This record gives sequence, C-alpha cells and structure tokens, in this order.
Amino acid sequence: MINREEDLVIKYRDMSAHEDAEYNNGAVFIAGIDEAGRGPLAGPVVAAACILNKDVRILGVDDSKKLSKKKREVLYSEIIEKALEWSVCAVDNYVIDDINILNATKEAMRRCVLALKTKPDVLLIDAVDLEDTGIRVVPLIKGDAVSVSIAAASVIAKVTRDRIMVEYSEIYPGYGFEKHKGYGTKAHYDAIAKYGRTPIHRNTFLK
Amino acid sequence: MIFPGLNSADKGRFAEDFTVHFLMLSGYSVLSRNYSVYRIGEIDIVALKGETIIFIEVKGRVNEELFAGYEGLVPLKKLRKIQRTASIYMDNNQVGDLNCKIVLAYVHIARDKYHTKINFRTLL
Repeated sequence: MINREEDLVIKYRDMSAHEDAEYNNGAVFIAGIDEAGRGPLAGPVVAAACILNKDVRILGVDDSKKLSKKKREVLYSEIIEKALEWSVCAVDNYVIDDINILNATKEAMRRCVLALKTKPDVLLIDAVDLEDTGIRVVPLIKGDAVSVSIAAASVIAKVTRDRIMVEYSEIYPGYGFEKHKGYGTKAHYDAIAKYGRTPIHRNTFLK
Repeated sequence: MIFPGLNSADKGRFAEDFTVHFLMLSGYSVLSRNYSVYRIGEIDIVALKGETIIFIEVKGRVNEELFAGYEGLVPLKKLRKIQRTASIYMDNNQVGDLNCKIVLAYVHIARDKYHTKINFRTLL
C-alpha cells in the first residue's frame, strides 16, 4: 500500500518517465488514452483521452484496477479539474456486435482523440495501435501502470462506465448492473437465465 | 501412490480443500471459492482476516522432485487475470476499503495423505 506523500511523489515521477521522454523530444501536448469495459457481457465500451498539465501533479494516479471505487471517484474529480483537456466516448453494444470488440475499442479511442479541442502531438495508448488519426502513436504494454496520462484516462473511462451502468441498472432492475457493471459474474448469469437478455447485452459475448 | 484413482482435477480439488481447511484453522474466513468472471478470470479462494482480504491461487503437486521453484508457477498473464478478477470482486462486494494481496498457495500432496505440506508466497 502506497500512502505516504513522498512515496506518491516517487511513484508519480516513475510513471511520468514516458511523458518526460516525449517532452524532451519536443512534444507539447501528450494525450493518454485508455478504455474500460472490454470484457463485460453488457453495456458500452468506454474510452477516454486525457492531456495532463505538465506542471500540475495529480498524486495518487494509478491503474484504475489498482484503485478502490472511492479513490477512483476522488481522483476523477481531481483529474477533470486539473487536466488541460479530457474527453470521453462510448461505443454501444450494437456496434460491438457488428464490428467486434477490438475495432469498437479503437473506434471509441478514435472518437476521443477527435473530440479533443487541442490536437495532441503524441498519443500514449495502452497496448493497441491507432491508425489514421495522423498523430504519432506510442503503444505501451501495461500502459495504465507505467504512464500517468494513460492512468488518468483509465480512471476517467472506468468512472464514466460505472456511472453509465448504474443508470442502466435503474432502467433494467434485477440484473445487478450497479454491482457487477455488466461483467460475467455468477449473479449476472443467474439473472440472464431468469429474466433473459436485455437490449444492452452484447449478443456475440453470450453463449 | 496413495491416490491411484485421482485425476488431475481431483488433485486440484484436494489441494484447494486442503488450503481452505488450513486457512480456516489459521483464523481466516473464506468468503468465496472459485469466483469466476466470464472472459476475465478466476480466483480459487477469497479469504479475509482482520483488515486484509487475500486472493489465493492454489497449485498442487504430487511429485516433489518435479518442483523447480515458485517462479514459473503463475505466469504473468495469469497473474494479470487474477488481478482483474480481484478488482471486480472488490468493486462488487463493497470491500474497496480493505487491504488486499494476491497469494500463491503451493500444496505438496504427499503420497500418504498425512504429510501434505503447504507453502504461501505473496505474488502481488
């Protein structure tokens, strides 16, 4: 558990290594891009892009999978307040069924980049390569754990997706979307067996 | 061999049962077994003691001579799957405030069942 202030500073510096290298290469705006919701059986895939301010540190930013829900919410408000710019886009389950999840993820990321008012010089993306945006892409393996920009984007995407799923849980009660967020837990499968599929289920994901 | 009829699924089951008994005797409460999330991953045992929740991956071996160290037992990809499943578990069950860790339980199943040994290794 990292809690102490100086540990957080060290962690932040370590995770800024890729950004610093790009700043030294002459880049001015670096956008981190990440997605949430590639695995679930229901709901959209959400991507977020985030351009952080070079001089403003947001301590505690980490891979959204390593943060508790409460910490994510706190960081979310801090990020949208302190970031230079951010955008978030969702691609719904019909499109996912049509063009498969990887392409849908890329589509969501592409829309995010286009939604940014500032054109970034470099895109840092977790693992996937994004063509035809005309911007240089640096794909990083385990990007959300090694880069602050990607981690910040992953927090935005995750929190947004969770909120979308909580809203869906009010439209489709009984499925427990507010708990499992569409992931294929036993409770979710039991609900599908009992009530059938909803319009937000990804048909290609269900056996 | 003492377990002539035991296939590998049975051995895995035995190792998991053994780990669960061991944990309970050590004061842990077992919250869940074989918690799985489709397309994401599976966790063998979820246990809780005090303020710490532990996610346990169980590995059982009968032949001690084949043991070549803990390093290769859980590949990175598998660890990432466990990590993702664990984070979904923590979100689903409102236990986000607890400390957590991912642990490997290595069970050496003895040929006579009285000498079965267990070792723990923190993975993450």
